[in-house]
Formats: sequence, C-alpha cells, structure tokens
Amino acid sequence: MNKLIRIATVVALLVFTTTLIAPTVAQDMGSGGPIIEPNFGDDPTTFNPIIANDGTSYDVINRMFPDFIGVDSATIAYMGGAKGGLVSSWDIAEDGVTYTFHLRDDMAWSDGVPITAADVAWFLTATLSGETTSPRQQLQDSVASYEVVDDHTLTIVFNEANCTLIDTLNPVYPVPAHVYEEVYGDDYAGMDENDYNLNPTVSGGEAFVFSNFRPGEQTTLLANADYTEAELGAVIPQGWVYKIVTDQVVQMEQFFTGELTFVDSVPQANRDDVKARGAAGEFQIFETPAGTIRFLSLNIADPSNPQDGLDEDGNPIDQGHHPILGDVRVRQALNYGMNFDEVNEGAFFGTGVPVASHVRPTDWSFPPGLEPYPFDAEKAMSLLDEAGFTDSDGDGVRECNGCMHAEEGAPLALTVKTNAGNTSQEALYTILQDQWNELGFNITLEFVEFGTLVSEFVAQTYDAIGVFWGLATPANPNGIADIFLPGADVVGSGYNTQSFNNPRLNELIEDARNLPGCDLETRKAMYGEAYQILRDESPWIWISTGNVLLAAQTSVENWAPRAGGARWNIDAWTIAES
Amino acid sequence: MTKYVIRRLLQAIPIFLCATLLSYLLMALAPGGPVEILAFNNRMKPREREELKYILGINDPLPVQYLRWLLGDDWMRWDNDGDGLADSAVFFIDLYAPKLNDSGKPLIDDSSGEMITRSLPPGTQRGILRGDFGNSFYYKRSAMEVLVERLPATLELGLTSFVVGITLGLAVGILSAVYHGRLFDQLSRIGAVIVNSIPNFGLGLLLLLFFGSLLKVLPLGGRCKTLLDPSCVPLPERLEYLILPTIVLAAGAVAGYSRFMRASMLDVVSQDYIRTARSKGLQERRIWLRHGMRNAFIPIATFLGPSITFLLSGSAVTEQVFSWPGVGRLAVNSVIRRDYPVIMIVVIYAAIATILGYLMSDILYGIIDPRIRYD
Repeated sequence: MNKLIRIATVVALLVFTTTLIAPTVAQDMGSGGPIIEPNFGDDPTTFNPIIANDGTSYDVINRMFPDFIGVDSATIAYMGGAKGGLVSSWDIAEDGVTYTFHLRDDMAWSDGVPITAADVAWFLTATLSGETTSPRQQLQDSVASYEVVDDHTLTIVFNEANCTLIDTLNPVYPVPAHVYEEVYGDDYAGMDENDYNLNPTVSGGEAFVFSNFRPGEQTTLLANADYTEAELGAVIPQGWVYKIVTDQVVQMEQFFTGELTFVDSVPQANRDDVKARGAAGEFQIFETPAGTIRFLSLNIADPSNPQDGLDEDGNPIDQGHHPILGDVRVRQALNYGMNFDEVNEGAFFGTGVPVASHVRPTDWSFPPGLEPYPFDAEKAMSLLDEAGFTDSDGDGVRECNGCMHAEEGAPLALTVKTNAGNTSQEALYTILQDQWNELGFNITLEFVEFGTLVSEFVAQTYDAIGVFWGLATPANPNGIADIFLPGADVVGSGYNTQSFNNPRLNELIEDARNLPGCDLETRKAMYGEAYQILRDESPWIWISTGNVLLAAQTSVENWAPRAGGARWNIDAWTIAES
Repeated sequence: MTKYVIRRLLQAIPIFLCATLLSYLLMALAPGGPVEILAFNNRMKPREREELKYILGINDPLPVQYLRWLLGDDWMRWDNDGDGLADSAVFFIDLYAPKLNDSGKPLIDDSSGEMITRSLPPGTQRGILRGDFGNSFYYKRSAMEVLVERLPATLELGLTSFVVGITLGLAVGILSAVYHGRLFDQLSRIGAVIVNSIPNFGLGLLLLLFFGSLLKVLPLGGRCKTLLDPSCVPLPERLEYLILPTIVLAAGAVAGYSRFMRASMLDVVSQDYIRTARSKGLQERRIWLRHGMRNAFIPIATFLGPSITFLLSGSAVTEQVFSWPGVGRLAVNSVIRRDYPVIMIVVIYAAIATILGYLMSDILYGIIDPRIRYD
C-alpha cells in the first residue's frame, strides 16, 4: 500500500511539474513577438563576415552567423562548445603551432546544408588571399596553412607558437561556402561590389536568419527554425529588428513609450531616471562594466619632430623629448592632480570607474594591488617642484627653473585636445583643466572635430589628446603591444603615438605572449608588472572605464543579461503582447 | 524662353565644374582623411592602414585624384596582356606600388638597395562624366546607389514642407498686409520671430516630446512603421510620420515667406496703379488679389529657387532628430567619415539642385511679370 502511495505521489508530482513546465517548453517558434533594438549608428555596410569592418555590421552578423570559436558568456573566455560557437573542442599538437579544431555536427545553414569545416576554410581562403579589402593582417601573418580533415575537423597551422593564437582567430566565421562559391567565385578583390553582401539568401547557425534591410531605417532578421541551441527548444522571438534611431533623447523616449524592446546602453543623462524606474519595477535593468576606457594620451617625444620608434633594422630611433611631458614627474603630477570624484560627478553623473592602467578590473589579467593614483594635490605640486617647474613670478603659472627638457623660463603650458560634440568629454576636460591649472599648469583646451583629432593623434604633433578606446572582449592583454611598444610607433599610421619605449615592458609583453606552456598565472604576473610600469610611467592618463546600464521592457520574459553578453539567450526572450 | 533656358544651362556647365573642383579641394585639403576614421581601431596594424590608402586611391597627388574622379582611371593604367595586372600607364601615374613592411614603409631589397614593388591592377573607374561616381569608402558600394536610396525620403519630406511652407507663408503674408497693424498682423509677426528664434533641433525635440511621448498621438520619428515586413507602406497610409518633420521644416519657411509677402504686398499697395484701381471704384478684394498679389509675387520669386534647393538637399538637423533616412543625414555622416565619393555625389546633387532652383526663379519672373521677356 505504501509503495502504491509512493508511486501515486511521484506520478502526481510529475504531472504537476509537467504542467508547470509545459507552457514554457511547448512555446512555438516565433511566438514571442519581435525584439526591436535601437541602432544609434549608421547602416551596416555588409552582411558578409569576410569583409565586415564596422561595429554595426558585426552587430547583425553576430545574430545570424555562428562564431568560429564561441565565447562563454559566464567566464568571458573562448571555450569549445560555448553557445554560438562552431568549435566544440580543440587540440594543440606538441609543436605548439598545429591546432586541430573539432566542429559541432548539428549546425545547418538556412537552406538545410550542414555547416562544416569547408565553410571555415572558404573564409580562410578568401581572407588569406590578401585580395579582399578587409583588414585582417594579424590573421594573415599568423596562419601558415589550414586543412579540412573531414566535415567536422579542421587543422590550422600557425607560423609560430604563442599564447595568443586563439585570439588571432577572433575574426573567423564559417560562411556558406556552397553559396559564396557560386556568388563570389574566386574574385575576392571584387567582393566589396557584390550585391549579395546586403542581400544574403543564406545564413544560419545562430538564432536568426536574414530577412531584409531598409537603408537608413532598419535591418530585420527572422527566427531561425533550425537553430539547435535554443534554450527553450525553439527560437521564441518572432524576429529581431535593428532600428536606426539617430538621436539619444528620441531613442530613450521610444524606449519609455515601449516602441523599443531593449536598450544596451542607457545614456548617462537618463541613468538615474531609468535606475529609479527600474527599481520601481517599471523596467528591467542590468549594470555591467563597459568595454571602453577613456584616456589622455601624453606625447613624451618632441612634437615638433615626430619620429618612428624603430629604424629599418629594428633599432630604436631617438625621439627627442617633449619639453614638459618628457619628464615622468610631470606626467605623474597630472595623475596626482586629478580629483576623480569631482570628475566623476561633473562629467559622468557618478557612473565612472577609475582605472589604473590599460586593464579593466574584470579582465583575467588584472593584477591585485594595481591602484589608480590617489588625488593628492600636495604630492603633485612637490613633483612639479622637483621637476624644476616653479612659479617664480607669482602669476599662478609655473615656469621652467632648472627643468629637464624645456627652455629656462618657459611656462608649464600644455594644449589638451578632445573630440568636439561629445558632452561628457568636453565636461571632463573642462574640469581637469581647472584642477590642473590649480597646480600651476596653464592648460589650453581645444575641442576638435573627430577626424581632425585623429589625424593629429597619428601625426604625433600634439601635447595631449583625450579619446575613448574600446577593449577587446574576451580581454587580450597582448593588445597593449599595438599601443605601447616601439614597433607601433609609426608616424601617420601607428598607435604608439606617445612614442613610449620601455625595454622592460617590451620584454614582458613579448615573454608573456611567447611563454612556453602559456601558464595563465605566470602570464598574469607578467602582464601585472607591465600594467604597473604603464601606471608608473604614465604615457597615458587612464581616466575611467565605466558601467553601462542595460534596460529592457518588463514585457520581455527570460531577459537575463550577463557581463559576457547581453544577448546570450536572446533566442529565449519572450515579448508578451502589449 | 527655350533659348534662354538652353543658354542658362550651358552657362551652368563651367559653374558646375568649378563647384566640383572647389568642393573636391576643400574636402581633400581638410585635416584628417578617410583612413584615420575608417581604421581607428587598435587591432589594425600600420601596414593595413597604409594599404588602405592605396586601395582607396588617396595616396595619389590631389590633381590625379580629382582627374580620376572626373574622368576615371581606366585610361590612366591598363592591362594589355589580360593577366589582371596593369602593364601600361600614362606618364603621371605609377605602374607599381611599393611592397610594405609591418610599419607600412616600403620594403627595400637588401642586396640592391632598391624598393621592392608590386604590380597594380588596371584602373576600372570611368569617372563622373561617364556616369561612374565611384564606390563609397564606408558603404563599400556605388555612391550613386547610396544616394538614390536616400532620395525618396528627402524628396518626400522636402516637397511636402515646401508646399506647406509656401502655401501657409504666402497666405499669412497676404492676410497680414490686408489686416495691417491689426491683431492678426501683430500675432503673425510675433509668431515669425518666435519660430525663427527656435533652432530646428530644439523645435523638433519639443514636438516629439509633446506629441509623441506625452500625448502619444504621433510617432516618435522614423519614416515608416517598424515591422518585420520589409515594405514601407505608401505615403498616404503613413502621413502621421510626415507631420512633425514637416512642421519643423515648414515653420521657418512660413515665418520667412509671410514676412516677405507682407512687406512686398504693403509696398505694392502704396503704388500709383493701386491708387488708380481704387479711384476706378474696383472692389478691395479684387484690388488686393488681382493687382496687389500678383505684383507682390515678383520679389518673392527670388527666394523660391534657393528654397527648393534647400528642401531638395535635405535638412541634416531635422533628419537627424527624426531619424529620417534622407540625403542630409547621409551628407553629414559622410563628411564626418571623409567618405569622398559620397560627399562629392551629394555636392553634385546639391549643385544641380541649386542651378535648377535659380533657373526656376528666373523663369518664374517671366511668368509672373509680363514686362520681363527673355527672348
């Protein structure tokens, strides 16, 4: 009898549980209404991943093509088998340069053709031909050869073993080779001009497939009926519309009135309001670290005679010295003289997060103990005194009185430039101008059109230029090689525009990249030392990263953004009828 | 009249060429180039940025760039043997380009000390005089295609605003003159000052916030309803999207035309022939409408041409606020990106619109004022 009761109880529980789950699991594909997301930028330029080179295009491509190697949204690291990635695992041969990638066998294009190694190979063939207009030099320089072993196995041989090879494969996507072969053939150079780029007939392997593109207005994708990774067994949203809304005020009003489903970066001016309304249950909100860093690049070299960092034989070229910023004590004084709290309130509405170096606190390579400069005006002034900049005539501006590189009597004057039209940048540097002038600097502030600013930045003719910089996700600490190593100090086209050259830093970056065995902790220690050098030497003043605030309508069920991806489960978002 | 129009059109050719030359010079000499903007990405290497300059053709001297844009480059560098690489070129064009090292500098052969070069592909552009406007640096497709995509939206908004602006403006101007010094006149004058004082972006945002966000009776920008369906329904079915941007663009025109029309009418009614008409015992209505209005139109015609140009070229600010996919927004984005082919096709479009606009003004003189004869 007891046994009977137990069986009956279990059956009852099963029935009850099934009743609870069934409505969710049994949802039909596309039953969840469309997701409408604002695009603050311009039109995507292409839906062909081989030639894509702008963020808007990638925003769309990432919804309709799988990555080659997926990024785990929980750990923010490349991982075999990660959702949205074609690679299920990989092996590294003993030579350290031969990688064998095992691919999933359950992904298919929208025309039913399976996604295979040949599709990745087509991407590699086109890209490595060097004939496309897309910038993929890092990939071209790294990959020596590749071979399709079978439909679901691909071997890539790299030119040299190092610890960043997986990062190198970041731009790789499988493309529908059977279609591309027919559409583009081997005319890789002419790929840009093909109408198919904006009218793809086949996509797949992701939650959505291409539907249509209305120039200047919107791009629309529809639920992919063959998506195999759907959280709820099928893609629930009917589709995804990437709608151009070119004014931030209007964008937020559209969100407030429910026209937009989701906003992936609430403007600073609206944050408090959205947070408060989110707390009151009016919206769903999520805050996560931003992918950008604000910095002020300090030109260490002589701006009147910009030089490349290295000569043809790889030997350092004398850079001369910036009359003021050539002295590290002045650069440090600028750091100590920055009152971040004041800047944060005045320019970032309190949303900024101070950073000490070229690394976010959430990155794996972030070293414990790496602290931003504290605000210490006394220390800043004593450093300036020590550097030989004192105010001998009592006019409030210091002059060179025994300084290292400026002429005697020359004022401690700098021109700081930033991009015009960006209100937070303009506010930031206006506040910093006041703070630094208090120390005895004479800061001239110029707000310059962005294109002009970038041309001065790469020409290396400036004193100090402040802009934003996007950081890679997943984090690739070796990226600092492109900004702080002398090989990147190329007048007119390199980004070590401050002409920084520190032999120990150069050594650390190279060693961390090429460490045999690539032990993560050892590399972390190496990068940690590199970040500390950058912090202390201050070729940049790292001002702030920040948090971005994401917001969604309460009608969106299953909205569960993570730091590693706001849309990782977009296939499960269910938009209730309003 | 026909001869006059033909003569004016022929005279416009050198003006058009001068306009393109000046615009090209201004654009190319402005600080910052397309590569700085397109390649502002720390993942890109110096070599890639330098390569991009060759791909976009902005490494050539300015006169060569302009000639290429005007006349194409298929006659500058060509392929005789059909191997896909150029083997002949005119004297002022390089047949080879240097191979570049990682720093984007020319590679030098250690043994000979000479620059290592590579062959270039033959020229493929035909130039604007043969109908080839080149490919957009940013959009990676024909600049003409990009412009044509945006034209319907601009024409839709421009023409609507023009019709509304001129109709209301002239009507208000005439009534202000008729009721000179009375309440209507005072109110229209104050209204014109207020409208002229509010910048378009401010007026646009205010209207959007009031009608779109607060009252929710009109859409918050855009040109068509956001649907999964690719189609944008015909204009009569989506007039609500036109209302607010039309008000913003037409408001200035109403204010301007009403003032000009009022002043012109008042000037005309003080003329002798109006006094004569009155003394002949004609009705006031007939005097105002038949004798006054027609003559008052003559100075107004001066402003019609430039207005048409302005409205056909799109209004960047209004299009930006209302997310209107028109030429104005395209032009501003292209200037920011230094997308030379798109900037130039917009310049050509605007130049043609200007020339035609002024020509239209002159023709209007002839129609309105019987004293003017062009033949």
